[in-house]
Amino acid sequence: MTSIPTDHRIAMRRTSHGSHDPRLCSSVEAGAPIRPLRFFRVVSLHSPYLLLGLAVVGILGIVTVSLDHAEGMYALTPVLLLQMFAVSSGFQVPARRGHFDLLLSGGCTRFRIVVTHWALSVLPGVAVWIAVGVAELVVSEGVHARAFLSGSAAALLLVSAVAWALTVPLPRLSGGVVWVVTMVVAVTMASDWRDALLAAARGDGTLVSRACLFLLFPFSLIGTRVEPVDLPSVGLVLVSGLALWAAAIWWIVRADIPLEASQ
Amino acid sequence: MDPALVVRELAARYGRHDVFHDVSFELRSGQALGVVGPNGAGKTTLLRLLVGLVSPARGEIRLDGAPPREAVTCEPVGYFGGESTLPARVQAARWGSLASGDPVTTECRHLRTLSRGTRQLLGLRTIFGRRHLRLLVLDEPWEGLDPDAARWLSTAIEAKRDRGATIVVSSHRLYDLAGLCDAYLFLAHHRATLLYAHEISPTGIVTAADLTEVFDRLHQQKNHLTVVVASSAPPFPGCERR
Repeated sequence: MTSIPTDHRIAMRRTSHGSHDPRLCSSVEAGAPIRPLRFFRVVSLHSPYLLLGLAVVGILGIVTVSLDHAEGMYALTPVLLLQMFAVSSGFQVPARRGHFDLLLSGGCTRFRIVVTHWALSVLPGVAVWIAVGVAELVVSEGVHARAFLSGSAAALLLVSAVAWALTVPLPRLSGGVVWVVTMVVAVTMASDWRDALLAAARGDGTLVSRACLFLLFPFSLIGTRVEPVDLPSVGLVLVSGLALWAAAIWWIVRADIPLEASQ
Repeated sequence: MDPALVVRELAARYGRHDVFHDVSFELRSGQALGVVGPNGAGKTTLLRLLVGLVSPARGEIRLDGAPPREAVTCEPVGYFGGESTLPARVQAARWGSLASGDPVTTECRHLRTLSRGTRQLLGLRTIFGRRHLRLLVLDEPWEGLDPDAARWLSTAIEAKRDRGATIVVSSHRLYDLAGLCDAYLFLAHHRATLLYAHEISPTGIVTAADLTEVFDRLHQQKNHLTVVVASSAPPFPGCERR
C-alpha cells in the first residue's frame, strides 16, 4: 500500500487557511445531495413534441367525452398509445453518455433515482388519463368513469411498467416501437397466432391466449371491468409486467456505467 | 490521520480487455493526486471507479471506509467527466443551479448551442458550486478552457483542497497539473506508478518538464516496475512504496 505523505511545506500552507476536520465537515456541513426530482425536472425525460402530443390527445379526449360520455373508450385509446412512447424514456443510453453523472455521484441512492425516473416517466400520461377520466365523471354526473375501471387501470399499469422496463437498456422510445411492431407482426404475419388471439378476443381462448391478448393488445382492456373469469389471465400479465419492471430497477441499481461517446 | 480514500490492488477490465491492474494508493483529507497517462490507459475508468459508476474487476476502494457506491450517498462527492457528458437540451442556467440551488450563470441558451469551453466551464462551476466536498474527481478539467478559466480552475482546485477535500484529477495538460498535486499516478501499459512530488523534483515543486520527463520514460518503458526517481529524499515515516 502506498500512502502519500503530507509535505511539511504544504501542511504549513494549509494550516494558514485554518485547520479543518474533514469528518466534522462531512457530518455537519455536508453538501446537499442532488435531488432526483429536481434533476429530472431540469434534464427532461420526455421530448417536448411527445408532451405536446399528449396534451393535444388529452384535450381532444376531454372534448370527446364532453360531447358524448359513452365515447370514453375512444378517448383513452390514443392516450394509452402515446403513453407507450412517453414511458419509454430510456436510462442506460443517457447514463453511459454521462448525462446522469452529476446525479449518480450526487448523494442519492440508485434505487431512489430509478424510482423517481420511472415515476416522472409515467406522470404525463397518467395525468392526461386522470383528466379524461375526471371529465367523463363530471359529464356523466358520476355514472361513467371508464378510465378508472379495473381493466383500464390494468392496461395503464401494464403499459407504464413494461414499456419503461423494455427501454431501460435501449434508446428513448424503443419500448413503444417494440410494442407497436410486435402488435403489427402478431396480427399480420402468424396466422395461427392471429386465430388464437381472435378466439381469445371473443372470450373463447385459453388462459395463455387470453394473457397474450392482454399483453399484446392492452387496448382491449380499456373501458372494461376485469371479470372473474379473466382474473387469472390479467393477473398473469400484470405479475409478469411488474416482474419485468422490478428486474429493470434491480438491474439499474447494480449496473456499471462506463462512459461511451455519443454517436 | 486516517486516509480518506484507500485504493488497494485495483484492477479494471472491459470484457476480456485488461485496462489496468495492481493500482494502489491512499489519499488523506486535503491531498491531491494527479493521474497522467496516454489515451486509453484507463484514466477515465479509474476516476469512474472512484465514484462508484463502475465496479472493479479486482481489488477494493474505500472512501471513509465505505465502498464508493455506498459512500457517494452519505459523503458529498463531486465528479465531472467533461463537457461531452452534459445533456444537450438543457438550459445553461438551469443546469448551473442543480448542485447548489444558486445559479452559476444567467445564460438561457441550451447547452448544445454553447461553445465547448463554455460548456466545460459551466460543468466545472456547477460542481464547484457544491460547498463542502469530501472527494472531488475531475476528468481532464482543463480541456477547452481559455487561460483565464484555466487559472480560475487551478485556484478553485487549490481552494477545495485547502478546505479539506480529497482531490483526484486527470489531465494531459501537464503544465496545468504540475505543482498542484501531492503525488502523481502514471498509468501506462496496464500498470500504474505512483510518485510523490518530492520524488519527481528534489525541491518538491513539480514542473511540467519534470512530469513530461517521467511520463516519457514510463511510456517508453513497457515493463516499468521500477522507476528511477529524481529525489534522494528519505521516505516519510510509516510510508512504503511499491
